[in-house]
Amino acid sequence: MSSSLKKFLVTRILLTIPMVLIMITLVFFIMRVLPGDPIRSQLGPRVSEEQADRLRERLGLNDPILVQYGNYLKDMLTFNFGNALTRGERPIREELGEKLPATLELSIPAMLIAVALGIGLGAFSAKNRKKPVDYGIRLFSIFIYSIPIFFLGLIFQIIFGVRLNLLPLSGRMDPILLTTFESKTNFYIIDSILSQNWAALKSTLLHLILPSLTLGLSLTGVFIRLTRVNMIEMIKSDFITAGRARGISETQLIYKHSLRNTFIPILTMIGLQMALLIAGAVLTETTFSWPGMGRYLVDRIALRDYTAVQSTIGVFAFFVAIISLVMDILYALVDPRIRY
Amino acid sequence: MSVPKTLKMMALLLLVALLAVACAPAATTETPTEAAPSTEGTSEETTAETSAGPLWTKELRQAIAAAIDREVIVDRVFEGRNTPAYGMVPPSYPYATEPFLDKYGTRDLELSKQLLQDAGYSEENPFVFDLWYPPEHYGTTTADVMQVIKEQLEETGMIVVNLKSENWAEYVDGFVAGEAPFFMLGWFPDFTDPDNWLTPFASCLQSPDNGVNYCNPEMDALLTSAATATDPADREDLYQQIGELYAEDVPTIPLFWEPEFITFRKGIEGVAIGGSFEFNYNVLSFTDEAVPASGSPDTIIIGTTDEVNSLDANDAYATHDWEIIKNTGTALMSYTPGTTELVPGAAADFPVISDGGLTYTFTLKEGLKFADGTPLTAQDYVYSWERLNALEGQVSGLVQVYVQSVEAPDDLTVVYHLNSPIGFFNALAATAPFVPVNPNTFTMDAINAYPETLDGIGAYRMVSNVPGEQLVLEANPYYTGEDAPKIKNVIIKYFADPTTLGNAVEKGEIDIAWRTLGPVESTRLSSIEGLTVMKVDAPSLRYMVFNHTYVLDTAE
Repeated sequence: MSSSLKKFLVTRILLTIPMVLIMITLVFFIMRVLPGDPIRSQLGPRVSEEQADRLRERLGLNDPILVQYGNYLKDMLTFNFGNALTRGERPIREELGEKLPATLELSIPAMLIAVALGIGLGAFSAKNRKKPVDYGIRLFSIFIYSIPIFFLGLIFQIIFGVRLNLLPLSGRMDPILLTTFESKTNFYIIDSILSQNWAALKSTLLHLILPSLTLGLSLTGVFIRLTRVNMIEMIKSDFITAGRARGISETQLIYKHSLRNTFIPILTMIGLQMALLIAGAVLTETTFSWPGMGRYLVDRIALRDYTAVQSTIGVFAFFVAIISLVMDILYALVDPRIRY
Repeated sequence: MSVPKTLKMMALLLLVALLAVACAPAATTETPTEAAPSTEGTSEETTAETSAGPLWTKELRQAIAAAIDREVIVDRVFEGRNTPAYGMVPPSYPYATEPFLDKYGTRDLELSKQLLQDAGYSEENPFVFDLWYPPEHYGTTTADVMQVIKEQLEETGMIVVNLKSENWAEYVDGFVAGEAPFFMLGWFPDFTDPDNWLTPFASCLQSPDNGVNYCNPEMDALLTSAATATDPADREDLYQQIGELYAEDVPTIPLFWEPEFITFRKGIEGVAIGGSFEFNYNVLSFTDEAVPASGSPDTIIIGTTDEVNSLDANDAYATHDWEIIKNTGTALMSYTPGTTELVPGAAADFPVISDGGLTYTFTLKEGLKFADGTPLTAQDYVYSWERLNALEGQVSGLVQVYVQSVEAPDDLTVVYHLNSPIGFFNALAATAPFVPVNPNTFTMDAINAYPETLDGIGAYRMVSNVPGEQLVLEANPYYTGEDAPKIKNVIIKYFADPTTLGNAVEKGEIDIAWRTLGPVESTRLSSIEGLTVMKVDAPSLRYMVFNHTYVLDTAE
């Protein structure tokens, strides 16, 4: 690792800290400026104001706002996160420990589907430019890009779940298998492989197909169009013409030389889409009753569960920062001309 | 060199940003206090100009009550699925009456016009006010209901209604703080007695909590007499009088009863949910033609969009939590499944009432055990009561209002001393906080909302709970009741979306789809072969509230 790359990395990692800090600070104050509070959101008028106030006192909601902010920062810095304010006041670390793996187990395959399908179809489309298959793929990319994600999910549920009865449509694993399933990491794929529970692995993978396909397909359109456009540019460039003159096969020219050179914009797009993936996960998780971070976040915003929302967004912000960092490093690996 | 420079810049920026946000809330908290005196000033001025006093006079409240046509609301918005409510007490309850029908008929527009005219309003000088509602909390039909009510009121020609909607969290804050003059709410019972449908809205003590702020000594006296009376004939007479006064004085206006729907697959028997709103899993069974979702007749899967909030009986105060607690535990009193008929639960018989209704003495059934084998003693009830007081959980207020102390003279006798005599203590003793907690799981030092297991004295025990995914119950091996579970295992599967819940029961991924399927999804499922959609006449009321202390700020 060159010393300049090291310096770059150190700076970027250090910059992540203020970025996340600003993010969670904003969320902290926005949540508190919003009308409503966790006690009334949960219990409505069922408890007297006197009892509601006692509950607020216990949760520390009556402290001055800067004291609450100080406590919150302390919790964040020690990675303790504190307790949620609603739904049984469980430790947030425990709750995120359940939800984060679920979201990752859904979004990583979704990203793989989006990238593989998007680049594959995009490249194929570029190679067959202006042929019917090109028009077909382009039409598909626009269609899949514009269809609302929950609608796509419901269509899949009805076709593959209800009508054809091929795939499960809710949850992460068969309920019967889940009753005896021991989960240490909450990544059900990893857990079932580690415990060599093949029935559980099969069930997990089957449950993953519809949600990850829904989420993945919704992002595919962007990648198809991006790859296609960049490939067409690339195919026209001098070095490809030179390669062709030297007798390199067309397939090699397209899929090896052109495609590799379009990776920079695609990598940038992957980084950007990762953030969008989170937004998509909220809808997909709701549609498929997937117990992940997105569904958790929506539920807790409605309940004004300040600590849970802050911590969840903090974790999201951290992930987006890390992803953009990884993307920057990948640039250098993909394109030797880039130096830091 | 450039690295430390950017770092310094970033640190500076961060500092500025932090300072900015740190100051921002201070500014916002100051503004209202600054603004408060000025608004007070204007309201003083305006009250000096116009007549002082609350907006809602009795005549105006009557005018509103007379102008509303519930039949039309139910027909136009719900296609007849809901039932008009002409009284606050559910028709399936004892002592229920329909005073609004007696006084105003289904609608009395002429009376309404007359009352408005008498109050000095005319077409040129209409009565203008805001009507608040939450757009989603009670389902998406709320906006339509409010629109119909607006039209009906404006048909008098002397009323102009401004509809205002706010999301639930803000809405609750607003009406509790007294900002809404006229607003819509829903009510769901704590226990099966008329008192729970009247006192919270019409007593001087409790009505402010619900934003009603109604106080009438005559009503208070009647409510207290009815609550403390133990003779059914006396109570019947008193609730008749309360109903008449309620329709005359109109603290709130009942609108309609909202049914719930439960959908189940072919070959499932024993689904019975009545006015008590209790779903007993132990009476469910599969017939020969059933195709269980689990593949085994020993396991039934029930889907819901509810979520667990707390499984600690000294804390829990939500419908789904109570359902789990009541299936894994038994309260002192209980219901015949599907009815509001009270029967002894953990108690061997109805309690002995003494001290003029201040003391209730229960004798426990012999040989009751928690699901971990620990024998149940009367001391466990004292423990539950002390723990409820020590931890101040969400439900504590419901018990503390009525109960003064609990004692256990011997292992099988529990004595409740009440603050004042109440005629409905048996119904209260059937609620979740009267399910004894297992002292091995629920210690004195903290609320345990998510216990690993729930070993109560009920027909089932909870063996696992993966939040947001599923909760698993199995038959309690120590349960000695005659109504031992017919299906040994119950899995509660949690859904985030009613449409998915409907798809899942259609596909056969679950056996029963329970709360909350919604009217649209239920209607769709009812046309599918092999599915039964049952309308549960759950006593869930929608009603309009007058804020009786609201003073119109004419400066606005």
